[in-house]
Amino acid sequence: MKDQPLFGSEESSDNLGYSARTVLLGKISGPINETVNTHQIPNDSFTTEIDNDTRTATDSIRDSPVVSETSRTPSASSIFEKGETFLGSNLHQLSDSHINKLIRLRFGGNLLQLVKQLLLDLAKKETELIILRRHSFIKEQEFYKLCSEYGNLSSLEVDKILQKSLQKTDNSGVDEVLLELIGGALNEDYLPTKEKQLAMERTKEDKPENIPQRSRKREKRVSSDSKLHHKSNKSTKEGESQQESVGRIRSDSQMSQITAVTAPRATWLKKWLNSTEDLQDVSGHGTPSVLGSFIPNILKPNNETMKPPMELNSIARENSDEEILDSGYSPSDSVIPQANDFSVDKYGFYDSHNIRKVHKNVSENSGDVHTNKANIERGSMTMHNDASKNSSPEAEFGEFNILNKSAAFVGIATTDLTNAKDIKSEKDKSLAKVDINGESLTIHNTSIQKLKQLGELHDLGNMEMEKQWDQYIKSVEGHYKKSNNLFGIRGLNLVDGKDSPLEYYSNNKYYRQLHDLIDKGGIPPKHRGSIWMELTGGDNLRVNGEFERYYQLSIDPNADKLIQSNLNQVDLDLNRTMPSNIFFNNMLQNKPGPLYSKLKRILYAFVLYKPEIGYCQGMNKIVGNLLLGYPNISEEDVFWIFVGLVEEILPRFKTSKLNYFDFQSLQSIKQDQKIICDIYFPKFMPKLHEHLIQNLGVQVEFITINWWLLLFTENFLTLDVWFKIFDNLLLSIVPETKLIALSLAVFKMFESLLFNIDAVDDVYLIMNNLNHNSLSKMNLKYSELIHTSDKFELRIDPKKLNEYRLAYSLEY
Amino acid sequence: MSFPNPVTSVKLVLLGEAAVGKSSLVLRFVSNEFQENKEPTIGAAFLTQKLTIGDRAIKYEIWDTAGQERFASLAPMYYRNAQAALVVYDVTKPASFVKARQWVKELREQASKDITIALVGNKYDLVEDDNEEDLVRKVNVEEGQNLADEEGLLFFETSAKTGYNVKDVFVAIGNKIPEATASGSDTATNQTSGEGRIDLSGGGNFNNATSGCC
Repeated sequence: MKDQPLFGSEESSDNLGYSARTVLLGKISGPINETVNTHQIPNDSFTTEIDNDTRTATDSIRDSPVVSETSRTPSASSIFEKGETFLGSNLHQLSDSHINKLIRLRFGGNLLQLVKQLLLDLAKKETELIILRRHSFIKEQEFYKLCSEYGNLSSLEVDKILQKSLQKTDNSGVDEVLLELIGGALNEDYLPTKEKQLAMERTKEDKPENIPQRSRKREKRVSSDSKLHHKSNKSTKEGESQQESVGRIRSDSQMSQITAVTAPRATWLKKWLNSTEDLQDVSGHGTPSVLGSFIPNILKPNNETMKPPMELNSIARENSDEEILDSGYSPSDSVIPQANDFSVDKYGFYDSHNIRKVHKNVSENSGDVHTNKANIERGSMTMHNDASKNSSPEAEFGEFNILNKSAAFVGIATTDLTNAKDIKSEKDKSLAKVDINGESLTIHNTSIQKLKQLGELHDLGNMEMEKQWDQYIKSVEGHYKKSNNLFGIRGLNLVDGKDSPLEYYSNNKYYRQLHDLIDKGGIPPKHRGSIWMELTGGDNLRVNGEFERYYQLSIDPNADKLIQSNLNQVDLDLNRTMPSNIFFNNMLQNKPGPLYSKLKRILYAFVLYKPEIGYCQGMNKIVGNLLLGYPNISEEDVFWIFVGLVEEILPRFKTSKLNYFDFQSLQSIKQDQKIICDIYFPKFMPKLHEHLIQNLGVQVEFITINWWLLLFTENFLTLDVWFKIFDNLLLSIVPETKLIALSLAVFKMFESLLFNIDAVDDVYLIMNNLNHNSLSKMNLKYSELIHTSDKFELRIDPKKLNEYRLAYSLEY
Repeated sequence: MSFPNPVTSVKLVLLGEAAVGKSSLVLRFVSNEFQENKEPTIGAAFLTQKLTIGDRAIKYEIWDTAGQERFASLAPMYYRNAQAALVVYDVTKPASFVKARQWVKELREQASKDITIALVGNKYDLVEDDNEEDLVRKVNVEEGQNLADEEGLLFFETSAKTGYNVKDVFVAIGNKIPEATASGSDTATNQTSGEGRIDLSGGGNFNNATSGCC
């Protein structure tokens, strides 16, 4: 896939629609010489079919929409039968007399023929549309990939990059791309079988020609060039109509992309067109490589320019195949797309923007092409430019706590950066130890360079963080003279337990360091697995083999009814868990991703492990997130981490008898929300409380209860932030105070925004849909959030809280 | 386009068994979209939509509750002050109809007396092509209609997937809500901000919301 064109084909709004079509067409029917020719055939055949004595009529028909339709859709005709006339669908725009003439001349007065022709044309159109959509999805994915490699780029910047890479690349690899394209097309199900075979044969025939020497290729390229030139000069009208047609076809869903893509394409194509001046006359036996020459060679990124930023803690699942085998996938099922084939972020979330469209196409095409259960995780809110949810700099910046400037960051690419200095100072603040020399921060003219610098800084920061962790772990190991079970539940192995929680912090250097490191940037992915295991107490609870035993028990058909109903609920929710993540839902192949079955087994086993708790909606999301936590995570580990979380970390109710996810805990959780609303909210944020609760009548529990039940998984646009929140939660001595503090800290982050809202439902819309909402990425800055919640937490006295709880439970 | 009359606010709650399509109905109504695998709702989701019926502008404030049985105890929180409720079941799942019956009963007992309830049999698309031998439909239209008649409910069979009847449910509810409940509260002044936002009849125009990637 790597060698696919970045901006292959159809998005074009200049008079290159023709070439675009040809590329597409080549993809479908293989030999390109034909596609070039067929373009003319319909027109010609049409005219020759018509008697000379009806020339006038013909001419008027030629000017009519019907004919222009013909010229517009060369590819469709060749998809079906070579050289067949394409009537098009806007016959209705003709006058009656024209239509009559048309019927008489073309169909000998047989109306049935006309209807058949129209239906066929319609079918062609549909096919074409489907192909275009499919094609453009893949192209867009690649486009996004490019964007995310460079961060948020404006089209101007994309243009520059493309130009640059065009200059630097040679033409090698085009034929492989061509073959790949054709091969891909042949494997696509929507080609009629007959056509498929035909195309297959053609490809075989053409193969020798496809593996040429340089000179040959050049010639071919030349030929196509001149043809294109010829074409566009000869009939601008045709060109226009093609262009129009392309635009029209795409307008339903891809319009928005055109603007983004057109500019760079226009440039490389123009450039390329202009470079044809030295061409000699072409013998023009249209060679198959015509297609190749249409493909810009930017897909072979120059290693120097396109080198992706080093991603220390990227979750590149390079050995995903192993994983799949692990998880019981049959090898034939195991072909999951490499994450980098598509626009997914490092955790495997699809670009929501794209998926939205693909999904739409799918549902509108009644699933003929992709019957996949394509989906987006959350589509109800408008969230246009969530590209930044991907591994764009902003998301990555979440990696350590310099999110402070993230809001500005979103705008960096498009506006000329004058605040690089701000960023520098932010960086300096949070990353004092990273050596940032002034030179590397010189303000350059292009944002790209700035983004690159920021990327470097980010990498440096990550490296530094990881180094600090390594050092820290080493020093702990040295001090306690052991190498496992260093930290223990909530990190309490580090302290001797005689002091009160507050004193742990001040008295124990290692405990304090652990806190500080987690506050600073969370646990790096490399250490996540083992440290989570310790902090949750999963280590202590773990009994080897038990996970497997529980799972086996769960698939026993004679299981008890209650268990059965819980498992049924799990089944209902499995497909609905992270449908926008490639590891859970492999959209393009219409099957579950590798983590899907891991999730299933963990949830199943948990139902058996704790039948009295069973399965509670929300667990799917939490376990799902944990599964994405670090590379090669084993499901057994995640199971025990989750068990530890439930058994040891999360609050208990009714004098510790009730587990957090226990059915009866809901009442207590509800009560805690009331307490937040009545007591802590006014205490910590009296003004906001007055505005929201007293003036607007917002019921805070409607908002916070969702956060609690989902452990804040829905609050943050990026998983990175959630992981840090989770890390932080694991250290809490009194988890309920942590949850209360966190809930209020989220409100605090939105304080200024909320003050400006005067409608109660707007408050719900924002606060209940935090990660549908781009606002949240501007406002939820990890370091600030943690700082605020730490501050709040200190002000919540657990003893007092218990008194309130008692009072409230009596009241209700 | 502007609303000459004050906007009537309708607080509406959706109740029903898990995975009957509550969130999908709302999504169809609010953004005319459908997602095959809608993530389960936890707690409750909140969405709003405005609709003009005749010369009335109605704003629906929708609380879409979680369907899992264990969350049932949270429901009173949401239906307590609701003016309308959609009790949803899945026409292919008899158990969901039983649950719907329970919800109607609970609403009659616990919710405000003048609450407008619509009984909605969703997933109509699955039974559209039912033939005699192979019945996908497990809850007959008559059963639904009978329950609706007994309890004085609005009744619809819908498909969130195809959009069939979805808007109709909300229109019917809107028609049942008396003008008098037009909110005189804080929200009244802000109502026009979202004018012209919806055009359900247009279909497919929500593409406008999308834009370039970066």
